[in-house]
Amino acid sequence: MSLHCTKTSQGRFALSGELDIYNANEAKAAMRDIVSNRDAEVDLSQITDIDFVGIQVLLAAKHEAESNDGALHLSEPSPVVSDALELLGVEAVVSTPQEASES
Amino acid sequence: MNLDEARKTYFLEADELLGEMEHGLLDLEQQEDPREQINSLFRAAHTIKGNSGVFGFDHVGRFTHRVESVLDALRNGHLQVTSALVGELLRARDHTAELVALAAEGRDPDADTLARGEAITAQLDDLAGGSAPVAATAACAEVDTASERRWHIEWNIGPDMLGHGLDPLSLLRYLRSNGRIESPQLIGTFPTLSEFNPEKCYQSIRFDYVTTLSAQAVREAFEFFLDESELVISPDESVAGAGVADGEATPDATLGSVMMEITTEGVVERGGTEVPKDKPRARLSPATAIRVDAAKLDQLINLVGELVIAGATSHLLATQLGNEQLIEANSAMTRLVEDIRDSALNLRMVQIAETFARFQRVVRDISQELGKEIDLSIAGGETELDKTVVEKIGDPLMHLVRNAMDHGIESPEKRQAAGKPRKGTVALNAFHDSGSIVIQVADDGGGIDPDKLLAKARDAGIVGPTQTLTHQEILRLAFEPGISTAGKVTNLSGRGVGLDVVKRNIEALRGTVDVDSEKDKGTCVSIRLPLTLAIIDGFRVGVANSSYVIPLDTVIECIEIEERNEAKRGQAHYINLRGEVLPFLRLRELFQEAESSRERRENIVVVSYAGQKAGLVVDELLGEYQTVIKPLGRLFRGVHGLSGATILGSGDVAVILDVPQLIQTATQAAANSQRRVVAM
Repeated sequence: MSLHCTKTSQGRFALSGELDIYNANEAKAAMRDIVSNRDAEVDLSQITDIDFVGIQVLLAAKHEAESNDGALHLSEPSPVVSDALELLGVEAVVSTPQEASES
Repeated sequence: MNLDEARKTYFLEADELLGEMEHGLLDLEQQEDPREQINSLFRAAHTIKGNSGVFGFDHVGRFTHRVESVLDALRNGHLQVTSALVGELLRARDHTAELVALAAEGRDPDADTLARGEAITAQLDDLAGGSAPVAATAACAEVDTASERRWHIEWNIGPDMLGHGLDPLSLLRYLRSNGRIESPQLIGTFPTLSEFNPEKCYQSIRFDYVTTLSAQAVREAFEFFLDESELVISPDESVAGAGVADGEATPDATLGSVMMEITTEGVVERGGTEVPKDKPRARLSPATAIRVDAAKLDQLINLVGELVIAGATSHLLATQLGNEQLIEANSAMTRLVEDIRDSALNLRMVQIAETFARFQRVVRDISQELGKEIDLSIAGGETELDKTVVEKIGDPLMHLVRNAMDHGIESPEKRQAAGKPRKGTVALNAFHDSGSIVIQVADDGGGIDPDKLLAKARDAGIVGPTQTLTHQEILRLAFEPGISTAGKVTNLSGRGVGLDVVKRNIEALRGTVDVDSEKDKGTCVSIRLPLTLAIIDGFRVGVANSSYVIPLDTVIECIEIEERNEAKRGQAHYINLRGEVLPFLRLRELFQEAESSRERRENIVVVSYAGQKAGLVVDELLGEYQTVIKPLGRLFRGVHGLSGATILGSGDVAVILDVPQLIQTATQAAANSQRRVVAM
């Protein structure tokens, strides 16, 4: 039960593991790191579990980036992430590959 | 952060419901009209299923769903109660318990466990017959698709709910498995990340829910979340699924125009005039939900003990001072202290009924395994005893019950041939008897053959070839290690390990085991245990200048030594008590107290334990005395005839007598002196 954040290239990150309440503080720290980049992209394909806490962290980070005139692209959601986002009606926060590559 | 509080509640409730299911299933066959039982079984399965869904324990949810379907078929009369069905449902209950236990450990069941689950449900479906499952599935949807309804749900999640381990997502997933969630919306704003607390909830959820579930069922789904949420569930007036207009007669009254607003203060209902309250359900009552560390309880009892001593001191001083008001105030306090003492002790007392009830299942399972017909009869379930004792008595009882079923009760054919009813009976009985609790395990089986037992004991070298034993002594041999009269070894018993272990376990609890048996009639094993309490009501007596305390419940009567017995002083060890031989002991001699300076009449306190009586000769009778047992120091442990000590109000120490041991000593001494008389 852990969450890892790796930087794949400039402004690109990949989260892997469980984005849930057990890793709430790690998740927050990781997202703060990530949004300190003006335009960041986060690959969510390796997230194995997510709960409401995880969703909130993602949404709060995106909100923060946008209110600072930056952008945060959430991309490649794993099936559990897509499912959770859909369930809450916020699937639109995920960028399509195209949008992501445009940035 | 009590992340797991809610889960803990789930597991506690699941445990309780599983227990209910077990009792319910075992009762099912005995009921003439089992409808009530079936309903409560169904409710239990339904609640487990629902809660499992809410917490995301899908394996439990899926499995109980299948069980629920079968129970529903029973409830609707599509199925009849049969022994085979009950057996399978019991297995299904066990499997559910297993799945819940796995969920508690946070593990998923392995393939093997799942396969067993499949086998059980397949068997259940089989028993339910070809048509029943279909009926069951249809019925399980509660209301058919025609009455699908749309609910508008506004859920303002409490800010701390996430921190308490409740995940709204898992509830939504559960709802989705029973209907459609449409146009969900998150409403709320986030603070900046630096102020963002990831465990706090900043959002509320709005969505439409199209489902066939009843209003009640929808509301129940939110049950665990209610404490910390504001919830408004309202029927959608504009569109109702499949064209059921609002206000039209619907099968469920609660499906009318009901609007419920559930807040932390409680449930406010608007719109609908009459909304039935929740059916009384098996909720955890606070009494069973409070779990207290046993050590804390012990500490409380210890303190109460000190309070009793302090109270006695203060009472003594007040009496000495002769201040009326002070005495009165003290009496009031003494009463309160007594009440506190009783309540504190009661905390540790539990009824034995629960322990006994477990055996219903054991007897059912084992009798099937053995191919015997056996009933279990239970008496005295309300008898209370100390919790620690209850915990330790389970294993020995299990041994004895198995033994009775395996060796005691004969096969139906053999019983019939012997002119007994085909069905054997194992009886569990509990009652209080002079300060101890007696638990009996009796059977109406073949009894113990004393000749066979004696022969075995001789073979094993436990009894010498020329030694003669009484009937009782021979029967007691059954508890010697290495002796079993069972002809064949089964996996239940018969390997000669067992009864001696039982005896050891009971003796470790400072209890005794006795057996009574008549060949071809049956066997009765009696376990006698002390009510190991920290505080007892004692009877204080004086010898020379010392005080002794005798546990009051062993005292039968007090008599003066008559003049004509005076002559026998110092020689005889028994008196004639209304035609009965009563062995007695002089405490003065036993504890080597100084000769009393004043010449006065002596008293005999008649005590009894386990049906045996003896007299204790003392100088003075000082009356009833409430006392705290303090364990004796290492130095005094093993001193014959003492079981503990106590501190008197005056600060003096009094020893508490070990009555069972003293009776034994008195009986032996009397027997010896009688023998001497005979020898002369």
